[in-house]
Amino acid sequence: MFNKLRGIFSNDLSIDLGTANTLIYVKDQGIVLNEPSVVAIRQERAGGPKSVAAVGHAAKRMLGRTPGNIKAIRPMKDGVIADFYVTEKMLQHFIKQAHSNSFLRPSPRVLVCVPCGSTQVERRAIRESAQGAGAREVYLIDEPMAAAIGAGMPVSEATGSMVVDIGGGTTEVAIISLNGVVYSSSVRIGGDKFDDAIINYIRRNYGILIGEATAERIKTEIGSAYPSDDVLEIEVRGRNLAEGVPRSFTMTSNEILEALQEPLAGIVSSVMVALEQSPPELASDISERGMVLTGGGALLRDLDRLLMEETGIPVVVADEPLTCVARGGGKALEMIDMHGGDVFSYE
Amino acid sequence: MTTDKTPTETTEHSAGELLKAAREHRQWSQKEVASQLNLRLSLIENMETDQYEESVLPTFIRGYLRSYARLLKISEQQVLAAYERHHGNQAIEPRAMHSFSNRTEKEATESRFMLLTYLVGAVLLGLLLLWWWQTHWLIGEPPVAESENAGVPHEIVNSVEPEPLTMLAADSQPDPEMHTVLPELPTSLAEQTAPTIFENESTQSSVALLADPPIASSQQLSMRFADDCWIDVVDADGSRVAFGTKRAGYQLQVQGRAPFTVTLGNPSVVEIELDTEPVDMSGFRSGRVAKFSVPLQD
Repeated sequence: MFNKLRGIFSNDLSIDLGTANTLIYVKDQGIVLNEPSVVAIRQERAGGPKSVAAVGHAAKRMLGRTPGNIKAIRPMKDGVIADFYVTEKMLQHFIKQAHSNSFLRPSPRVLVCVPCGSTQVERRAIRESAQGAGAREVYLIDEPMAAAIGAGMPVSEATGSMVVDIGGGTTEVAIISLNGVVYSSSVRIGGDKFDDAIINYIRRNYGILIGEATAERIKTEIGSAYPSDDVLEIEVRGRNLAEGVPRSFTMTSNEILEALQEPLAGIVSSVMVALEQSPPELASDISERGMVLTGGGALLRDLDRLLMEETGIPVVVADEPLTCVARGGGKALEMIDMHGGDVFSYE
Repeated sequence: MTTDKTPTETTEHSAGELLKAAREHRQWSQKEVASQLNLRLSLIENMETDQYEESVLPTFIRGYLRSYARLLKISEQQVLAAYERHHGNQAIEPRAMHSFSNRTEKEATESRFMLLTYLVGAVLLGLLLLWWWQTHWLIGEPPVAESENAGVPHEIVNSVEPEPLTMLAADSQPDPEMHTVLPELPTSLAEQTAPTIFENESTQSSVALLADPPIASSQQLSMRFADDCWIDVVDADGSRVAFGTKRAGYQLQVQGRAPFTVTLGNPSVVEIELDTEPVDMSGFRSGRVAKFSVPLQD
């Protein structure tokens, strides 16, 4: 009863609880929050009480730069919850941040996007952590479904729509028709794997160790998925493993392309498998119109080109690929009241 | 989604013109572009003439334009801005979603049933209120006898048999139905025994204390009980003026129009007087129910 009352003063939220970033979409307000999924936990002594020191951008700046009593944690791994308590704290913080009203504790209806490959246990963990964070009702939706809705694909129509959502932790490939997922697969390759591949490549070839933040910077600035005529360069600093002192060196986009070969091959093969598995009618729809890339991974330069060359069908990058999932979830949430919840997924 | 260029926009190039110019600058044919982008040749032609088929959604058009611009190494933003200029909101609005679940239909049916339930509930409530209003308003009307009998030493109990209350109350004129039971007891005793009278008359419904002035033609029937006895007294108008079991030592006085039809469960323990004139009860046998009228008729 009291929850319902508080619900009147709360907005319905669509949360893209991603490995790298958490986005919150509010109806009529758009994306109200876009912060890294990082929490800094302070613990003064071993076994002592834990408290949240920072969440989001502030916590991300601490990653790899913390003293002994603070730990910067990424509570999501491979698209699912790795640390339940920290995820709950993070969600609580974000839900509160998304509400300007500070008088009543918000009790919104929340839609959370889950990877289509996640298990029942993982889904329940996400549902419960959202409830623990103060949600009145929790709905779950498959990430590729939300991404397709957010990208503006005709998901309700009787045509096949193929969406490739490359997130921080997972890559979801799905074929959607008539509000349902016909085929979906989830591979645990994403932006994090790209970063790891770059770190490993540099350690192997340069004998220099760089941090995750640096690897991410290299990826976003010069990362490329397809050989190009114009070669980009970046100056990087890291610790030389042999000498033990920091050194700076220059990397080119072609080197990064080489470094990313392995994770990219994984994505390409999952797309190929999806096309192979797709029913022929839907496959012809897809080959006519093409597939849509969403998620932060779609921003990797020439990734669409790579998939186009490998598959031979058109590839389109969605508008604002980073926010597609959250926006799509928001639209699905608006649909609850008007229609039924047939786009939602259940445990 | 066909849009013809208006003369005002001739100064600004459309998306198709930009792409065509860039392609011709590179000396590529449409076919080459189509094979590079894995798109149909007709789609490339459409893009360059800014005419799109209805079936191609804006999401895809924007994606194709972006890929084409990137292939030609011209600014994506410029091409997309030109496209949006030409097509306005249509360029951004995605098609509306629709649902296949029958939940909404089910809910509509359920809500109709709920509406019906509420309606029935409201009608019942209305009837209840009406009943309450009628009984309250009408019962409040007849004058209460307490003021008149304030000085009278007896407690006046109106003994009425279960008759519709509204009918009883609606009669405002002095009516023969109203009769009082006046225990002929000393003042002090009367007050003490009054509650017991109430208890004794558990079978009777004593509703209100009424004392209508006795009418001239009415006669008084007094009964004195030596032992417990069940009685039923109906006057000439057919209204029941006394009913139920009376205890030993109880005195009953009722008024009504003679002749009274009296039924006694145990006639030998009752002494009856009609207007202070004793009625001969010797003719009735003890232990048998007696039904007779007062004054006695042969």
